[in-house]
Amino acid sequence: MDALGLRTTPALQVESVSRRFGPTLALDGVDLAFVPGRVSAVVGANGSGKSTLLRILAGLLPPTSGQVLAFGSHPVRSVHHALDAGVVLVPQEPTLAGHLTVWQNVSLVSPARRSGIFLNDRRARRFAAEHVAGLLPEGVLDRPTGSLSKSSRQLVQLAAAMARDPQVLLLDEPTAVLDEDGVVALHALVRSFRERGGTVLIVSHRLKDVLELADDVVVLRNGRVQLDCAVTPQSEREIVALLSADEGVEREHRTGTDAPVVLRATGIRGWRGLDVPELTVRAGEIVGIAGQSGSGRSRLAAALAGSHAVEGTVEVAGTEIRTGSIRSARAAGVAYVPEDRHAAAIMGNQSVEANLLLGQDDPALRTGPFRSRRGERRVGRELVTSYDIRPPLPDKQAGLLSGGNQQKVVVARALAGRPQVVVADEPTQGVDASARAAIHEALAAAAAEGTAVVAVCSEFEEIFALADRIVVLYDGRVVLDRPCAATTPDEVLAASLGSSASPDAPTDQLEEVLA
Amino acid sequence: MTAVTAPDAPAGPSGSGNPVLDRVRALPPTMRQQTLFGLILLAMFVGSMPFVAQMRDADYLMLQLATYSAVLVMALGQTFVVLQVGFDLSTGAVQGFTGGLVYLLVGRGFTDGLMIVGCLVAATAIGAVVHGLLITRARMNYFIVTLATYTILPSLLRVILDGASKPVHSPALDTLANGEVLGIRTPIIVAAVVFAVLWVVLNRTVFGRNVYAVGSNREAARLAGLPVTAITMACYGICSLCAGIAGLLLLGNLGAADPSAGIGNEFFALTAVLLGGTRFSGGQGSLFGTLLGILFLVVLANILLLSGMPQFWIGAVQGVVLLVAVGIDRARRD
Repeated sequence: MDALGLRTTPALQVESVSRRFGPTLALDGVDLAFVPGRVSAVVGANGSGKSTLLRILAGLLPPTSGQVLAFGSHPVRSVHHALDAGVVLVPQEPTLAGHLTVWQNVSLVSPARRSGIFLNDRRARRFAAEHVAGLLPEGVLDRPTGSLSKSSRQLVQLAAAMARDPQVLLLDEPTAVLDEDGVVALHALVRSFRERGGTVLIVSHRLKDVLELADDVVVLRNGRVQLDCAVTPQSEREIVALLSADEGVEREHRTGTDAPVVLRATGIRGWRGLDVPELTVRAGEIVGIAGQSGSGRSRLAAALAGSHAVEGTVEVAGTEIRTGSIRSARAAGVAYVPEDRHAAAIMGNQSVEANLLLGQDDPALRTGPFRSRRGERRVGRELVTSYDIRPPLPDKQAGLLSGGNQQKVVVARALAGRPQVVVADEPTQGVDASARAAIHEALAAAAAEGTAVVAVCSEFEEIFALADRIVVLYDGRVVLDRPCAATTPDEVLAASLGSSASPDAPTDQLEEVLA
Repeated sequence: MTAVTAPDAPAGPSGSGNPVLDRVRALPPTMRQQTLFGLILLAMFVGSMPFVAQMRDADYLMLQLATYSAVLVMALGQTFVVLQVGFDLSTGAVQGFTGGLVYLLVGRGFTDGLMIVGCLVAATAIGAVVHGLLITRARMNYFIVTLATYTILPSLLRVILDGASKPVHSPALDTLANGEVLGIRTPIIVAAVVFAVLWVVLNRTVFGRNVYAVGSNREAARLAGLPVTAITMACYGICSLCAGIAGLLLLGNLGAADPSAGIGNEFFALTAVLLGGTRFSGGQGSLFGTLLGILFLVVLANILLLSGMPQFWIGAVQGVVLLVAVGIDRARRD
């Protein structure tokens, strides 16, 4: 190897880094080295310390002890140090200026955006176009970033990171919000960046992504490095064994029941082209809604849950609810798990108990207008235990829980009132395998008791693991509605991409679309 | 069930500052913060006693408490609005405007009770209906809405009073503001009653819990089926009601309706609310903290004034104290 210096100097060197949050030790004496030209994956359950590690590497969080060196000599003590050394973080939640266009966001900090002290928009736009190429169609360049889908926003974020000409790319759960096209584009970008000698660090829950892309893998558990090795078929098995101990078992699909229809939506129209003539869900049935982002899957869920007004009627066990009225839907027995946990579900600065009890109308919780503290404590403790929320402390501030446990709180809240219908939009987004299994189990248990479950999932595998029936949306319309047992992931993917091909030969079409 | 005295109050009065360190550690963070704040306050008070004669004078202290009762009541109401995310700029204006209403109603054959109720209903309506509806239904920014009332009400007040201070003779309000019951000045009793009622509403009712929920995450509260619009309207209503009560106290104290009455008090009250640990981001804070905030400002101002600091400096000191307190809070959170 000619570039000997490059080979021997790690791009990022983590030297006995520890980080303490109050009484919790999030990282405990971590020593790691990330070498240029390799993709490393950091995996581990929620609360294992991987997000903390990533934030320390990006200079967002100072370590309690130890240090991080970039390229052997530059200690990373702040975001500015990190950026100066070419270490760029792509956060899980996009941090873009929503009112600015895509090209403005991408060229925001680049010297290309100005000539002297004046802005040079034409050059900036050209510069942005180069970086967006391959990730997004050129047509989006002039659109306000806020008008794009979550998946596209994440890709814009990625383009903006690449526009900083990074040496080290830190990706936090990069595929969590990406649709299937986006994942393909991301993989291509990571591979070409690696070939140019770049260092990539991926934090992810999705083992599949990791094993496909990564050269090295680091497994964290309780703030310690459990495993740090190259990805080989042998180590792959070891990693899987380490991580998938809690992986859920696939549910048996139920088909052709004659249970009564609980949820019936007819003539749902409006709201950016949503058009679903009829959708029914029977008692005890789990229906998975699939589709690419922007296909209307979340809009349909919000309409069914009463969160957004649309044309048409939604009936729950024969009672029509007013669309657009959450309270009317709640009264009819509909519970909703919204897609965006932080913005629409978790009260971060309130206790776990307050989060669990939000909106519950259990008579045990009140005496007239007064709260029953005894009832609240009892119900809170029961829910914490039965949904295995960790740590099992109802008084803990909910924002301090790991993402998976926060999501368990949200699901527990929705299911606690024994609703007739549960509408769950991405119930397992950004959670680790064990929390995902627990959430699937909870939804299946609710279905077993006769609740009609509607679950929107962007990952098709998840629908096959969870649902009895699958409904695929494309451009606001239902393009496939079949029992899971009677369809295949390939067919679902093809349908979600708008392919009208016969289900016999979906794969050829697919490759064409993905190419 | 005497729920009110339950020991596990999330934000209620702590056990009068037991200094045993272990017990303090076991308290929830908000309560620990308040205990600490309370101890600092106590230390300031006790520490100043040997040096400042007035701090040993019970009559003087009671007069101070009575004087600041009105602004305490306003701050308690403001706490509700800040908890659900917002700020009512107009509380001082409502306080002054209530004086104008009394001036209009007094001596026109209304009984004292009817006059008082009428003024308070009108004040509540300004908050619940005008502010509440404009902020929730018309989706206007709370700052803009209450800024508008902040400029409208004093103007209307000048129109009502023809631009000059008008003496108002109301025996009921005179008693309310200047009387004594069992040796305690009535404004203190009024403030104590308001505190007790609002404390129960905020800490012991389902409504109170929902105020915290709306403040913490409004969208989550809406999606969980809470009547978020009604809750916001109620909070602005409570805030204006409190400003109305403060207005009656002020009028009784002055014995006149004054065109510039009340203005400036809203920021004093807000300073106390924030000093007391209630966060502008909503969902966190307590009435007890607001009480401590007011007491702290009063004790501080008295110590400084009585030890010879020119009055003009008081505002600067209070502002710096606010920055230091919020800065410490901020640093501890990171």
